Amino acid sequence: MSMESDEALMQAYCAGNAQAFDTLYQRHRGPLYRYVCRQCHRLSADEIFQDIWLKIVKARTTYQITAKFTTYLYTLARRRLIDHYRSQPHSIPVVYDETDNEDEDVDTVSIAGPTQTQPENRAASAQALDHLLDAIKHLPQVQREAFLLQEEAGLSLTEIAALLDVGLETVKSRIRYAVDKLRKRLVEHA
Amino acid sequence: MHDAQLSALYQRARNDEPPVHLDAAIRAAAHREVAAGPQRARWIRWRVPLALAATVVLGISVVTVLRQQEAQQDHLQIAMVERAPIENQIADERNKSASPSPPESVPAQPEPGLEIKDTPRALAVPKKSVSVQAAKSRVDEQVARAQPAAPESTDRLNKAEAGSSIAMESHLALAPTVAPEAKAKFESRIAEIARDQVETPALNQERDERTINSQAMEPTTAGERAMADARAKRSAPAAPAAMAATGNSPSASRSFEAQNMTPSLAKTDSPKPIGPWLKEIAKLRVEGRDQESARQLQLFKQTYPDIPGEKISTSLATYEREWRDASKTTRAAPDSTDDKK
Repeated sequence: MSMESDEALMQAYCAGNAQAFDTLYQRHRGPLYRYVCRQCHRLSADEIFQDIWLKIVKARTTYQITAKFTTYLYTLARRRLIDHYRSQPHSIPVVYDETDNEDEDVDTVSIAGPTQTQPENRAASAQALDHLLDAIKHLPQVQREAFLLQEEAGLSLTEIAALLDVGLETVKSRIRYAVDKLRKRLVEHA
Repeated sequence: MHDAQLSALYQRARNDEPPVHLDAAIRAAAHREVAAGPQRARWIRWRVPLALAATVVLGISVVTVLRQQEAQQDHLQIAMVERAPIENQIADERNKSASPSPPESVPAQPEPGLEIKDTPRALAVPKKSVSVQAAKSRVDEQVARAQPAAPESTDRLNKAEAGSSIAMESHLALAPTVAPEAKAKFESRIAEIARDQVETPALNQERDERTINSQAMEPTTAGERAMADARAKRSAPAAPAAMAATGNSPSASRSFEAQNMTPSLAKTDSPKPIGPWLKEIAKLRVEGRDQESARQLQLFKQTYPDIPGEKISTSLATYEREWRDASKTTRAAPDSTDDKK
């Protein structure tokens, strides 16, 4: 059963197979939890994470395959996060500004640091990881969610564009800016 | 755009996992949903058919109620249209009898489709009779439509005999379900109106005065009506003599009838009293007017269906004998005077 696709597992769960849900949950619990955790407080993340899965459970009778299950799952997660931001605007510890200098011309060449200061050389360092996570939290919201959808959910650029309801080039731009900022941040803390 | 080194570094940070209790809660919720699934699925399966059935039932109910209301309104309008000329004629008659001047031929309210313009005075009565005939034919049509009338409609019609406006309204309301008895009442009333056309104004005035004077004694209950019938029966033997004295003229006949009729019954459209009516039928038979007597007898039987036929025959035979005796006496009177001469 573990080799079955997400969609097949969800359909099996809709047909009454609870084990299929367990398998599906096991596959996506970590990435989804991190996707939520990286965008809000830890305490809120637990509640949001549970709500997302309960929505999946309640959608058992109405679920129809219209897209990849991953896209469906992260669409629910994104909407739930937006609701969370709207209900608690002052609790967001990260930048939530869609117009955060996206159009500014970033000199990627100048950002790229010297070889000895690049992140891979500091991968072993736990401090570098902390810096990376901290840098992710300080990314603009739209860039952060695009980066996380790529890294955690493993979605392609096209799927991310469909999920975010934006153009493909916009997604590319957001991810490029996110990566550049993360690099720059790591270089600064190096 | 995709930085493999940065991605590799991020992969090392993938150590965050949801707490165990959260996993347990979510899995438990999923298993509960599966356990409760068939009931909800069954409800969802029946939701659309149930909604459709409810919609259909509601729609049919609304359409049925609307059609019933429409039919009631149509019947009410028909009854109003049919009543209008009759009421106008009654009002005209009262106006004529109330005014001391010679009666003018007040044109009746023309019925739709029966308008007669510039009718000469001499033709006024035929014009009215045309209107009466039209109303009668409409009543016939209405009765034919309402043949399967409910018996309670007859009872309600009988209760409405008092002649008040409220009772007339109930007649109107029951117009769609008029029974044959109601037809008989309507016919008798129309015939009475038609006869009134040829009556002299003096007779009208006399009758109305008598009616007004005796309105306070108008019988309203069944007991009072029975008493009125008994009074009419008691006065019956004197009728042939009075008839003979007046010379059997139509006006005298009407006068006799008016004298013997209960005042309220003479005034309103309620049926004639039993005794005078039978006497009238007997008189028609004695006079050889068989068709008219047969029609009156049929009308009588329709009006009083409870009276057995044997009793009617016996009474008619008695009255016929009385009429014949009275006729003989009348004829013998000049002979005796001749003998005296």
